[in-house]
Parts: sequence; structure tokens; C-alpha cells
Amino acid sequence: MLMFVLRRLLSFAVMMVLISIAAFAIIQLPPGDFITTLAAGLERSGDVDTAQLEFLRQRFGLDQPIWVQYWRWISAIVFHGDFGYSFMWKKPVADLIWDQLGFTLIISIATLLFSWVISFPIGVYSAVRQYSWGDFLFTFIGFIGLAVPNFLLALILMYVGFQYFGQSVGGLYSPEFQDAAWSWGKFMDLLAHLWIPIIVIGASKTAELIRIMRANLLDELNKPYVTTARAKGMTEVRMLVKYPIRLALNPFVSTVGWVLPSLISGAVIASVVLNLPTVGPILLNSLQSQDMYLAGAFILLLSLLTLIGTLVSDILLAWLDPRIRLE
Amino acid sequence: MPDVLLEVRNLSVHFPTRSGVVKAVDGLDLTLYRNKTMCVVGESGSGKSMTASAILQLLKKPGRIAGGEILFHHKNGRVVDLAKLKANSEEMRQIRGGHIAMIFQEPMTSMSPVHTIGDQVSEMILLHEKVSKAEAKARTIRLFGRVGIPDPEARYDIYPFMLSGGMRQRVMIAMALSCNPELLIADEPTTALDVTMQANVLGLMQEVQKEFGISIMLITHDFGVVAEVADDVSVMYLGRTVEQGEVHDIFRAPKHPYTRALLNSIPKLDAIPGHRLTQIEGMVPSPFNRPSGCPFQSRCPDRIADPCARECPELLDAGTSRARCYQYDPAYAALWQPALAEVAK
Amino acid sequence: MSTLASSATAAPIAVSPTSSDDSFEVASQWQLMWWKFTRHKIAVAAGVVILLLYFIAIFSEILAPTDPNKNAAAFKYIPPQGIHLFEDGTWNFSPHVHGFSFKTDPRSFRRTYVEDPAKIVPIGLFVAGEKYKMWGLFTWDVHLLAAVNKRDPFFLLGSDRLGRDNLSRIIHGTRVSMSIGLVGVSISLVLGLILGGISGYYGGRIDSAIQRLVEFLRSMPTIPLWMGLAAAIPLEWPPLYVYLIITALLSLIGWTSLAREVRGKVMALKGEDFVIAARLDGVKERKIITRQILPAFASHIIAVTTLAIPEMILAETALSFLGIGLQPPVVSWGVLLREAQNINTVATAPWLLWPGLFVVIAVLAFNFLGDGLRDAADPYS
Repeated sequence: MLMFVLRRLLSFAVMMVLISIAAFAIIQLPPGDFITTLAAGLERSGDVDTAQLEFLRQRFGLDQPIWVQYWRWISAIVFHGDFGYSFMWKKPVADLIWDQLGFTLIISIATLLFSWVISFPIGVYSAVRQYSWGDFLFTFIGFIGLAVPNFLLALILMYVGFQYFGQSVGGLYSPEFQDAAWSWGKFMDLLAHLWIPIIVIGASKTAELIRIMRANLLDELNKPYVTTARAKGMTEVRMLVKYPIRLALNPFVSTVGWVLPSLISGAVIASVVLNLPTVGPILLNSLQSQDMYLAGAFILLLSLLTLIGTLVSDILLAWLDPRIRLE
Repeated sequence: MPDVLLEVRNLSVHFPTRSGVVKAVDGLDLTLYRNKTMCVVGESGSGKSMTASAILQLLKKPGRIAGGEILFHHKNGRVVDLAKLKANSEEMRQIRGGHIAMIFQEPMTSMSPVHTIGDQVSEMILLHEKVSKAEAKARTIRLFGRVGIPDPEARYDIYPFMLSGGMRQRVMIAMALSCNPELLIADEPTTALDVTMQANVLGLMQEVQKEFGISIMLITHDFGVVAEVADDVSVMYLGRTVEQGEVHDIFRAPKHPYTRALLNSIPKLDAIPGHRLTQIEGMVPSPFNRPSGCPFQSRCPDRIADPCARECPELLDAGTSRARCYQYDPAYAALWQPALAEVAK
Repeated sequence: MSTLASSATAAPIAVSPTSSDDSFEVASQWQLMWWKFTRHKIAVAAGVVILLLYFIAIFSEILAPTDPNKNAAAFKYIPPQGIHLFEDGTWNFSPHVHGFSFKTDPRSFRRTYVEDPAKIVPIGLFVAGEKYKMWGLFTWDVHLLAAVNKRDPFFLLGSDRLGRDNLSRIIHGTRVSMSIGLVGVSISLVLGLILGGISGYYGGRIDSAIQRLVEFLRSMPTIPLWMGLAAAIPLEWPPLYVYLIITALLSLIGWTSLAREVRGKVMALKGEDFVIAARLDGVKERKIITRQILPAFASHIIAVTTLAIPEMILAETALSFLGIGLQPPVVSWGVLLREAQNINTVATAPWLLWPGLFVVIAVLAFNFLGDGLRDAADPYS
């Protein structure tokens, strides 16, 4: 087990380096370096501070070869937590990102838990009662869930909320709590608003997880060890819980690895529509205005989150499955 | 008269499919005696595994028992018809594992890969008997030792994938024996093993049969296995028993044309070099359109259109064994006399 | 038991069409698949829907009532009009829609439209309307269904904030959205076949290198990655370039699942007797791959490819919706939905959500079709 975790940690580190390179490449993608872009922008508004531009050029080593630039960028992040400078906000990136990241993480994890809690029992039901009416119903809902893009679902929910309940569905707080300090009331208000983004972001993944759970369990139900367990004289329910459901859980747990990235992706889009204070709107904004250090920091950190998710799911899987653990 | 343990009478197992009902087992008769080993032999698709599943009501959907009786004789003389019990009833569950245990072809997949072997065996004891966990564990370890698993105490906590195929089958045997059943059904238990392992496992089964005083119903397609372990043999073809008798009689004087053909198709050590093996002509008919009358008539060298194409007889007394063939029906036997006389010449 | 089960299902397939013994002998693998596929009713229906969508995509100029970019300030946010087949109150056949009159709310000064039965807008089949360049080849002006007078308002699915016809825009968007799925999947397929094939066939170091790459790409959160890449596309690029680049970006991630599938299949097949036999006969490696292995799983690849198309469509829709995918004047379903990004707009003009329905239908149809194909790909089970 220890060896396994160590090996996974090693590949995690390698992946992280690769992803940081990818994020850096994205920062470099827009034509011309950003100082030039910035200078052009400043010229238009008329207040060019040549000294500041020169300082920035020095700071990021723009006159240096590309790998030196990369090293400066990544070492500042790793050793000083310095993610660079946002030209749009005229603030260090590090001052801007943590709140949004926190919310993204909260919403993504809440959605992940929601998807699991909903899809697990439904998947089990659909497999055990294959071809029953309930199974058909869930399969149908599942297909719809797969086909409706989450931003469309968000729009529809907002429209319905607006049209029939006369309430705005966006945001995470009611207006009266928007700028209020944390209190019990604000927390409850948050919970009351949280379910809509959770449904919007989680719907398609829940549908997918139901299908996966159903297929896994159907697979397991056909395996000989199920017959062995029945031949022991176990009751059906006890047999199901101890053997096939327990085994179907393994591939289900390993879905975290890719469900989390897509939930984070989904949260980005849905947040734009629902106007949530997650990474989504600010990332979109930074990309559109080519505020590349800000965008790069988000891409890097979101990727880090998904890698951690994969790591956790791999370790969880090894813990659940002796074949992996003792290999 | 030996002591009867299990009687299967006129058993039918049906599989409704979209294009008709498959009669996997069709009017099967079988009698098992206490402390004896009965081998059920037949080609794949003859319904032998299905019979085993039907006895314990473990048929996979949509298979179901369509008729017949499965009479289990308890030690106290009480007789239960297992075919009438509900698959999930308390009584059926007591029978499973408690009175009739089963082992399967694939020791690899027949155990859960994520539970320790100790857990999977002691679970059976805990299910059927009121004993403490510690006691169940101690008994499991004793059983492991008995079936020849070295260092049983240490092996208690390992997983099936860490064992070889032969060792896994030993674990399965230990599991089957754990609640002192009266009958052990073994569905091709050695097919997936290599030859030395086969001999070991068969030897072990014979040993424990004597020691624990149980009956064994061994399902196989291998006459070598039959010759080694069987007391009685039941030959199946297309869901029916075509011949049943004691092993020596079947080998020495097979009565049913199918049994004869099967035995002729086995390579023998004393065969004449260069002599070709006889093969059974034709193919096993599709389960969707089995011939009316005797199921074997389409391939039978001794067929006489009337009566064979018309109807299939019951198991008839054929002297040393019982066979489902009109040759042994006094009313028709005369039809075969000229042919038999020719053979005799 | 297993042999029995397989013969039980194989037999009906062989006998279902003609039930003669000959068909059992001669039915090719593709025929068997076709028979199995046609028994999957929902998949067949989905196939018809997809053909219909591609038909719309091919003939969008004719099928659209008008030019998708023609704007008319006077007809902003017109709600969908209903077609009336007969002259009012009589049985004279004269298909038409009703025109509008404006009403200004005295307090809010907001202009609202009121349907005016007195204003008749006659419509007809195959009428000469706005001129267009058919497939970029020749100029024509025939529209399947349009207002007889091309200046009249005719908005079956309403109009948007610039008075453009929603239906015409959706029909033209169908061309872009449906083709982006095809083009994107073709690129993914080529990448997936080559990299997956190499990975599975040669194994060893190349395999683990490619597998790491696949793992790497799959562990990136796709939307932020796409956003980053798409945002780097210069705004001044011509729309066709942007279209191609966006498609390529989507394929960049899409090929990984295809490559996995191909790899698994190739690995399984390379141990099969017929492949080993070919190798022992001294057949060249490349020939083994193209002649022996590829045909053996072509059906699976078709199924997996079909299931990959809707993902492309959804991704394009999402990117364009955010405004970093395709840019106007190109119309795709995602670009159209961008018009409905604001809740106030949706509240005034809910018909702008219509393109969403097309997305849902297309994605559902591809999923059902792909499922049916996947089942049929294994005709012997």
C-alpha cells in the first residue's frame, strides 16, 4: 500500500509539472508578449508608466529565453505563492483567486456528493430490477440528463423561477445578505441558493453515474461468485450488499478521477449563467481581456484540483480493492 | 436397497426467449444414493449444469422450473420437494449450504476477489449455525488444514487472487464441507485445472466423501473422471437422462446407442495405431427445434423410424442398467433382433 | 450453459429474415449487424432524426424562410406567429400569418407587439425571397416556405433583438453545429486510430508513453483548457479559420477516448489466431494492421465514433455560448443561445431557447443511435 501511494505521488508530481508547462504555454499563446499588449492598452488610456513596464519586463524576464521565463513564473508560485500580476484588476493575482477557488471547490464537491448520493441507490435499483418500469423511467431521465447542456438547464430553471415564482435564481445569496458578515442567517441563505447550481452542474453527471452504476452492477450480478454466495444460503438482500454492490462500488469510486474535472468544467460554465462567485465568470473575463497571469493561475489551480481528485480516487480504490493494494 | 438421498422426477427447466421456449431440461429422471458418487455425463448443452442449478433453485433468469419434482430425503425420513419451495424461502436457504453444498467450474471467479478466503468460508458457518465468530474462524482454519492448504492460519486472511487454481478449488471444497452437508454438487470442478491438479482435487473429494459420509453429484464431460470416482453414472442428452446405472456396467456394457457412441469416441491406450476414432454423426439439434420422438434419433445408428420418431420411452430396464431406448421395450425389442443378430455375427 | 445460451440467441438472428437454412451460411457480418440494428427501434428512429438533421444542414439555404442575417429594426423580439391555412371566416385556401401593430405602454414606454388579424401576410411554398448563394456556387432565391412579399414579417419561431428570423438562424446553425461534430470526430478518429493502434499493436514503451499522454489530457479540466486555448485565437481571424481551429481544439481532447477503445481492441486482436497466422506467413506489419486488425473492429469504431459526435456538439455549444467559440456572423446553435444568455432576455423572448431544443434532440439522437450501433456491432451475442 505504501509503495502504491508513493508511486502514485510520483506520477502526480510529474503530471503537475506537465500541467504547469501547459498552463504556461497558454499564457504565452496570445500573439506578442503581454507587456506590449498592456502598453498598447495604456497608451490608449493615456497614462503610460514606462518605469513600471520596465519593472514588469524585468520581473518576468521577458527578455530572457522562454524556459527562464517559465522557471521564474513557476518558482515564484511554488516558493512565494506569487502568481503574477493582474493587469485588469491592477492587483497581484494571488489576492484575487482564493475566494473564487474556495467557492468552486465547495460547489464541485457538494455536487459530487449530491451526484453520488442520488445515483448510487438509483443505479442499484435499476440493475436489480432491470427492465422494470422504474428502470425505464430512470433510463429515460438519464438520457435527457445527458443531452441537456447544463447552461441550458440553468437558463430553463432561471426562466421558470422568474416566470412562475417571480424570484431570481442566480447568485449564491439573497440581496440582503450579499455584503453581510457571516452569520447563521447568511449560511442558511447560502444553503437555500446552493441547490440550484448543484442540480444544474450535477444533472448530467448524475445521469451518467446512474448508467455506470447500473452497468457495473449488471456485470457483477452475472458473475459466478454471486451464484456461490446464493448457494451458501444467504438472503438475497444480504448477498447483494455484501458482494455485487460492494464490488460495483470500486469502478464507481474510481469515477471521481474524471467526474471531478468535468464538474469543475461544468461549474465554470454554469457559474457564468447563474452569476455565481466561482472561478467561472472571472476566468472567462480574464481570458477575454487576455489578462493571462490571472487566467494561467486559474487553469493551473483548477488542474491541480482535478489531479488531487484523481489521486484521492486512486488511493481510495486501492484501499477498497486488495488486488490493486497488494499487487 | 441403498438409501435414497435425492430423487429427481420428470424435471423440466424452461428458458423463455424472444424466439420461443428453450427446454434446457426436459423430463429428467435421476436418483442419488447416500454415500455414493453419481457422475452426470453429457456434452455441453445437454442440460447437466442446468439440472444442478435447478436442484438448488439457482437458475439464472429467465430460466425456471417448469415441472417435475426434486425430492430431498432428510435424515429423519422427512421428504421435501425442492421444486415446490420458493427460491428465497427460509427453508430453501437452509437447504443451500446446510444440506446441499455446491462447487463450481471456475474457482477463479467463483469467489469474491475483494473478500478474504477466510471470511468467505467462515461466513457460511455463521449463516447456518449459531456459533461465535472466533469459533467459526477456528473451524475454518481446521477445514483449510483438512483440505490440504499449507499454513492455514496465515492463509485465512489472504485473497483468492493470491492462490493458485488448485488451491482455490480446495478453498471451495472447504467452504462446501463447512456445514456438514449431505450432498455435494460439483459442477465440472476440475475442468479449469491442469492434469496434476485435477487428480489432486478428485482425490481430495473422494477422501472427504468417505470421511464426512456425504454423497457427491459430479457433473462432467470427462469419462476419465467418471471412471476414477463414480459409483453411479447418469448419461444426459438434450435435457434428458438417456441411461443410468452403475459405473462398471455402463463402461462394460453400455445399453443406449448414445452412451455407446460416446464411449467409442474416447481415445484408448490399447487402440490399434492408425485406427481413427469414431465420431458421432451429425450435430446436436438446436434447442429450438428438437426432433419429436427420441432426441437422439437424428444421429442414432440403430434408429428405426417407427417407433423412434414417434415418441421417446421412459427409462427402461435394460438388464445391467436402465436406458431410454425402445430396444429394451419388450413390445418393440423384436424389431432390433435381426440387426443385433448381425452384430453378433 | 454458456454454449446453450449463445446458441439460443444466435439461432433466431440467423433465421429471422428468411428462415431458410441458406441464410445461415451466407449472411455476412455486416448483414447480421444490420438485422440486429433494425430490431433496435429507438436506434432506427434516432438514425432517421439524424438523417433529417443532416438534410436540413445540406439544404439550409432553401429550407430557411429568409436570410439568417437579415435584420429589421422594426421587428425586434416578435413572438412566434401561427400559420392560418384559410382566409378568416371562410374556407378559401390562402395560407397566411397575421401581421403586427405596435402598442406603447403609456407608463413604461415599452413597445409591445399585438397580433393584428387585419394585417394579412400571405405565405407560400417555393416562393422567391431573399437571394442567396447556394453552396457558395450559384445565386438563387427559392425558399421552401416563406412570405410571398419578402419585406413582410414572417417569424415562425419569433425574432431576436435585431429582428432576425429565429427559424432561419436555427436552420443555418444546424449546418455549422452538425458539421462541427463530423469534422471534429474525423480528426479525433484519425488521431485515435493512429495513436491507439500504435499503442495497442507495439505495446511496450511507446504504449506507456501514449497512455501517459492520454491520462494527462484526460485529467485536465476540459472547459478551462478549451477556454484558454480558444481565447488565444486572434479576433481578427476569418470565421472559417476560427471554425477549423475550434474544431481542432475539440478533437484535441476527443481523440483520447477513441484511442483507448482502439488500443484495447488491437491488444485483444493481436493475440488472435488469424493475426498470428498472418504474421507467421510473413505478412508485413502495416498490412497486418490495415488488412487484418482494422476490419475486425471497424463496427466497434463506428459505434464509438457515433457516441463521440454529441460530445463535440455539446462542447462547441458551450464554448460558443460563452462567447469564446465561434463568432458571429457564423451561426451555430451555441452562438444563437448566446442571445439568450441574459435572464431578462429569456423572460421577454423565451423562444430564443429554441436552438437548445435542437441541441438536445441532436445529442439524444446520436446517443441512441450509438447505443444501437454498439449493440449491433457484436452480432453474435
